[in-house]
Amino acid sequence: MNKLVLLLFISFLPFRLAHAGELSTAAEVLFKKYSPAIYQVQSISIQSNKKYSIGSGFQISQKGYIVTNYHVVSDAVMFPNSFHIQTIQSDGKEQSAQIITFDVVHDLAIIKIKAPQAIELPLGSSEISKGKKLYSIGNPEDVGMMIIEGESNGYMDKALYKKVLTSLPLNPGMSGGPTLGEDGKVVGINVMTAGNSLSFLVPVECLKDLWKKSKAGHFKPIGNFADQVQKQLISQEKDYFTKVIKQKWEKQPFGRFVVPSTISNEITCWGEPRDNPEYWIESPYLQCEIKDDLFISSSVRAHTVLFNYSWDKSKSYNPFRFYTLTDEALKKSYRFDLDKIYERDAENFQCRTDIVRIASNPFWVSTCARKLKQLTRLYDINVRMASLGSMNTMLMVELTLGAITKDTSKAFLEKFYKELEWVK
Amino acid sequence: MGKIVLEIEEFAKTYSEYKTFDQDCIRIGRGFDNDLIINDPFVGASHLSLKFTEGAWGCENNRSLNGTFISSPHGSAAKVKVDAACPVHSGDTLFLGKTTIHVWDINHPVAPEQALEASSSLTFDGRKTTLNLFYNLGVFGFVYFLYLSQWYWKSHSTFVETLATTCMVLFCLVIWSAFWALITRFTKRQHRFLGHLLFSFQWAVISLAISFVLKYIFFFICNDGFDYVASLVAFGLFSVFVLNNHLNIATNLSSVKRNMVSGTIAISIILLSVLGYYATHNEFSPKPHHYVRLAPVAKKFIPAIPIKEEIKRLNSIF
Repeated sequence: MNKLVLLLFISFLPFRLAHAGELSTAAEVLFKKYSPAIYQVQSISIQSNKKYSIGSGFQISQKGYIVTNYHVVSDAVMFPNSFHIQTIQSDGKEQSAQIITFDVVHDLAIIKIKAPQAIELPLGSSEISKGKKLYSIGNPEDVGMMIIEGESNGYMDKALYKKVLTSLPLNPGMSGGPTLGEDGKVVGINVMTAGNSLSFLVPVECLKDLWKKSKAGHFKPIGNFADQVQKQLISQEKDYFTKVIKQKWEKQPFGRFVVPSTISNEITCWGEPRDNPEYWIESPYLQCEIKDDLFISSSVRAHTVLFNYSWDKSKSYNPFRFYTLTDEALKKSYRFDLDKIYERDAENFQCRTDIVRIASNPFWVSTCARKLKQLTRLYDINVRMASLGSMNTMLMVELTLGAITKDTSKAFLEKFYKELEWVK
Repeated sequence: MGKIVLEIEEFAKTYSEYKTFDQDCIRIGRGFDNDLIINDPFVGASHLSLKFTEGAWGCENNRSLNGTFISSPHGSAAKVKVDAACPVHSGDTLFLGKTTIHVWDINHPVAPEQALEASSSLTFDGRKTTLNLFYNLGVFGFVYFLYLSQWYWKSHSTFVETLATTCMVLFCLVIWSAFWALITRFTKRQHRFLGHLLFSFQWAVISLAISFVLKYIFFFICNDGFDYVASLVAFGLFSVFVLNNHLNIATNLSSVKRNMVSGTIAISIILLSVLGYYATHNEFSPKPHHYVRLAPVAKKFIPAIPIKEEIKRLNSIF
């Protein structure tokens, strides 16, 4: 997620210039026909009665059901006492909206307004060939309703959750807006961008599933939102992590160890040759992460998997000094990613330190866990380990798991420890 | 008539005074009618007499609360309490209250004179003490420098930086001793700066070793978090000891009162730290290393546990 930017426009972000592609006549027709059914969705801070973040949404039923991204309404889901949702029509009419249902995993939400437009967007299919024209309507950066044009590029590789890749120049504020094919049917929902004309859509099939489920429940608004978020996360966790823990992990030699690297297809690894001439002769670095962590609220992410290794070989220091440097390196070089969290989101970390025999080496293992306040069955986990077997070399490992249940995290850690190997 | 030299060492005074007597009876005590007046509250008004009878010196203890002790290099060299009377030889040492008196015959041999080139500028009156001071300073400076450069110094620092830090610590000890010398100036009208400085150096060396050992002992016996409290208690005990000794040099308070004063100071500091801890320990931090304690060297003492056991133990943090 750190390389991708969600299309949520939070009001304190600096203003950035948006640019629209050249419009063809097809775009003109689509805009005229469907722009009344596109809304700006605002998350309003109850205390200040002003918008905190904005996104887009589109009407899929004349009864007033509007589709947007989960992350656009996430503040109102997680903190219903601090935020409510409001929609603005293309003619400027404001009305408040009620959250009906959402899908955290695929980043979708359905909200309802009382006075809808007499128009709805038809749902199509995301199975379209590369190079086909796509059009997206939305309100980027709160500058006004606009239509932009780009090409479809099929599905994204290495994605945990299916996503359509496009060359639409999407901008923050267009989250939740529809992307239409040339036939005027919805292909996907705008969700995030990775910069210059590289954007991702949630396939419309996910929306169809959510719509079907909601219809089966007679569009009754779901109960406790936070519980629902937790339920969806745990069910997704069961699907994904059970599979990962069971399968064979790909490993690679690193220093004098063999370490897990691309443990599943969705994990990407990056390497870095590092030299810190002050202390170390060499200290190569390897980092692996899952790109598709889930957005829970503006400060909380779920299903983060991130682990990194560094193999540190010291200059010829005496053992005491080596351990002092080790001590310092262990304390300072945390790459913990989930530190943008507030006190409202989580409790303090609880830590324990043990000396564990892993891969026939004594490892200093410090494990920290913190409970999330709204999602009480989920924990953020951070593990720091360092091999203590040698007097001048050390393998340092940091492992971060975001919003995961206790049992899954323990099973994952056990597998991780067992997979580490020592090269004799 | 016997001629005799008395070398008087007041407590924690860094040099001694010599007085020659040419009489048969020398009365020693705190009263103004004595031949040798000693300003020590633990010495009696009329404490002791030295008498020359039948060609030899003897010592007679008058009625005093704390009594007199004698140690003789000719005999057992142990401190013996003087009951009524006992013989005194050249080289014997008498202990009255906190004052020490060495008895010398005027014909007692002295060490041969040292050549001027061989000795340093330190050989002025009271040379023993001054050498001792520089010796202590050197030892402490060296130990601290080793500690920084070989063991503890964390960042990559040059020789000059490490040396400068060592000097800074030495300077801090000088300031600390000066503070106590100022107090002593008010209480005893003598600063006794060197006494305080010597004591500071010695304890700095010992405390360096103690702090280093404690760091690992606490990691070993206490789990995360508790070592903070344990180190506070250790700090308290240590500061009671150090304050007690500085007070001993600076004042004439009895040991009970000294313990009370130093104990009160140490307990107040501990209480304030504990209050500070409780005022801030609930503070929220999103970073895990805020809560992690570590001491890798402790692995020498802790046997490594198997993975299964570690996973079981993790229940304690959820």
